[in-house]
Formats: sequence, structure tokens, C-alpha cells
Amino acid sequence: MRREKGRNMHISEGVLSGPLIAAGWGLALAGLGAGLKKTQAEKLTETALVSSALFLVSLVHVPLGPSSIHLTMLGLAGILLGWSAVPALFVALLLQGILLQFGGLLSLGVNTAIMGSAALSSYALWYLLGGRFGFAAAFGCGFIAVITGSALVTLSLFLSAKDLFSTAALIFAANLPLALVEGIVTAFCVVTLKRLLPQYVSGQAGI
Amino acid sequence: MYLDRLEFKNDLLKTFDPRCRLASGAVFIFAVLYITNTILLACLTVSLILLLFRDIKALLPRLSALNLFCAMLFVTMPLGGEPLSAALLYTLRVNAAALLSMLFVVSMGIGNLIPALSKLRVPEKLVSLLMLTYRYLFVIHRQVFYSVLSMRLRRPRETVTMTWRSYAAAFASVLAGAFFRSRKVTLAARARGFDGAFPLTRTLKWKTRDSLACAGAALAAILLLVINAMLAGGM
Repeated sequence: MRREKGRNMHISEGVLSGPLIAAGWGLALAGLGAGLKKTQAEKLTETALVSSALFLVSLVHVPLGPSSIHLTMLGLAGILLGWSAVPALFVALLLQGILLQFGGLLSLGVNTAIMGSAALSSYALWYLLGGRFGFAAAFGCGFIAVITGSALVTLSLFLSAKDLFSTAALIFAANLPLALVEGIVTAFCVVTLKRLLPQYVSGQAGI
Repeated sequence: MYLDRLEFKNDLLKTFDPRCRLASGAVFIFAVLYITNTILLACLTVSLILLLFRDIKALLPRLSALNLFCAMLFVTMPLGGEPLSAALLYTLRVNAAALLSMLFVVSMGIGNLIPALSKLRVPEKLVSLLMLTYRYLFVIHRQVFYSVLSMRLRRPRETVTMTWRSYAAAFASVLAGAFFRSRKVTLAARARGFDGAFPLTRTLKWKTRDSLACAGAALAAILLLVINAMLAGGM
């Protein structure tokens, strides 16, 4: 697979301040603890395979006008995996750091906290709506996941250093239209999955 | 994806325990976060590239993604009233941290990282998840490639929404395939007596030289910070 360029949902090493890195790891460890507790051992293979699939799918170029984008698939991760999305995303981010040099070692905690929060916000929305509203709910999940992630990236950059405010604001603004695309693709994906694997998108707890 | 290993001019680091490499890498990267002198960072970055990496042409594309972010800093920070020197400082810091990460962590490979994490008392579930995810990346990679390729060959070019719908259907088919495969793998594993634990055959032995290396890394990091403080103080 040729080299792909990622969107700025991963914060690179060397940008975040020490206290923020420590706080990020604290949140990530709490999320990992909760996620691993809710992941049954016999469901690990499913979680791993879905995590691999989402990792690879997020590398595919999806056309947007004259250009193309990569989707984060965080909304779908939340819907399919629920709390297991946090350890799955931690693993995916670690592998992205090792294989693609996206993100970093120390910033892994912050990135996990951000992506995990985004996936969990999607899961919460999907769980509340119980999958009853189908397409609209799935769109909302995809949309809210990207908005949550972008807002947290913006906040992290701003809290790290005030001189990154303009960059942080640009990242948030750039992700707004992309959130719409993510919502639409997530919605169509969930509608298709409902036909193929209805038990995994029933609106109950994830895997 | 970069499946080929990074080549270094010296393989000395490979002789150390992976846990030592993780700890040393973390210490160096943490020190880099607190370096505020641009010249010191530039010297560090250039030294790392020239002294340690064998193939610079292979190295530079690996840094392209994070340098896109750095390029954005050069545009957005002046718009926010910040000097270009601040953008340069971040660029050098990001690149130095990435190079250190490649040197200490990326180069060790998954085969060394997994036993190191296991020995560091990382929960077994998480280590197993990492192992399985890495294992199936290469299996599902082919499925994604062919699924997207066949979709691109067949999809109607009518509207943008239909295009996104086609991509979504391709992604859903990959995910459904992943679910079905996982069921088969789980049943096959259970039939072979799998009890949820993956035994690791690789044993790691911590030696005195690893302790000395960690101490050396800590001292080197402190020295960098002292030099930074001296340069900042104008001495």
C-alpha cells in the first residue's frame, strides 16, 4: 500500500507540553482500564479484527471534490466496539506510530484519550437512540465523533501552548466539513451492516 | 505501510533489552520537549539523521506526514501574530522527537515490543489485542485493497453521495468479512485448546549494561537540558 498522508487528528510528538502529556496518559489509562474490563477474553479476536479493519479502512482515500480525504471511522468504532473501542484505538494508534510514524510514543496517551472520547461519544449516542433511527442516528454518531475529536485536539494544542491557538482553530475549522462526510459514510456503512450483521449494530452494548 | 525495517549505521542499540530502549527513548523525547534553543535542536536533529540513519532517502518520506503539520505551523502561526522562529522551533522539536522515536522504538519491531510490554506488566488482554491486531493487519490489508479496487471499477460516477455510498458499502463488506473471520478463528482456537492466553516464547533478560544504558540516557538527557539552560542564559 503506498504511503498515505493523514489528517491532523493525531498530535505529533514534540508539540504537547509535559503536564498535558501526563494528563493524557492518566485519562488514557483510566479509559483503557474500563475498556479492558468490559472486553471479554473470548471477544478479543473479534475486537482485534474489527480494529485491524478500521485501521486499514481509515487509510483509504475517499474523494471529496478535486481532492481526497481519509476518514477516521471513529463513529463506526464506537458503534461496533463500544467501550472496547478504547483499547482497540490504543493498539491502532501504537501501530500507526510504529508503522506509519503518525503520532508518537509520549503523545500516545493524549491521542488515545482524544480518539477514545470521540468513539465513546458516538457509542453513547448510538446506545441512547438504541439504533431505532437507523440512518439519522448513524450519521449523528459519525458526525459527533469527528467534532468531539477535533474539539479535543484543538483544546489540547491550545492548553499546550497559547501560540498554537491559530493552528488549533484552523484544524477545528478544517474538520467541520469532513465531519459531514464522515457522518454520511458512517450512516451508509451502518445501514449495510444492519443487513449483513444486525446483531452487531442493534443499539445494545457493542461487541 | 512501511513493512521494511529502518537501517541504521550502527546496530549497537539492538543489543540492549527492549525495555531499556523504551525507557531511554521516553527519557530523551521528554527532554526534547523542554529544549527551547533552536540551534541546539537543529544540531540534534541533523546529528541524528547523519550519524545514525543509513538511508536518508528512505527516511525522509517517513517524516513527510508530520512535516505537513509543521508546514501548516509556518502558515498559521504568523497569522496568529507569532514569529516564524516559533514555528521553526516546533518543526525541529517534532522532527527530533520523531527521529528518537524511530531510533529507540520503531526500529525494535513488534517482535521485540510485545515481549517488552508483557514484561512491563501491561495487561495480558492488551498485549494479546496488539498481537492479534498486528497479525490480522496483513490478512485484512488484501481484503481492503481488493474490495476498494473492485468498488472503484464498478461504481457509477453519478453523484458524490453515490460515490460515498459505494465506499461505505465496500468498508461494510470488509468489516463483515472481519467479523466472520474472527468467528472462525475463535472456534478454531477453542478446538485446539486455546484458553485465552498467548504464551510468549521470547524471554528477556535484564543485564547490568541495560541499567548502565538507562542511567547513561538519563545523564545525556540532563546534559542536553543543562546545555539548553546555558544557551538560554547566554553563557
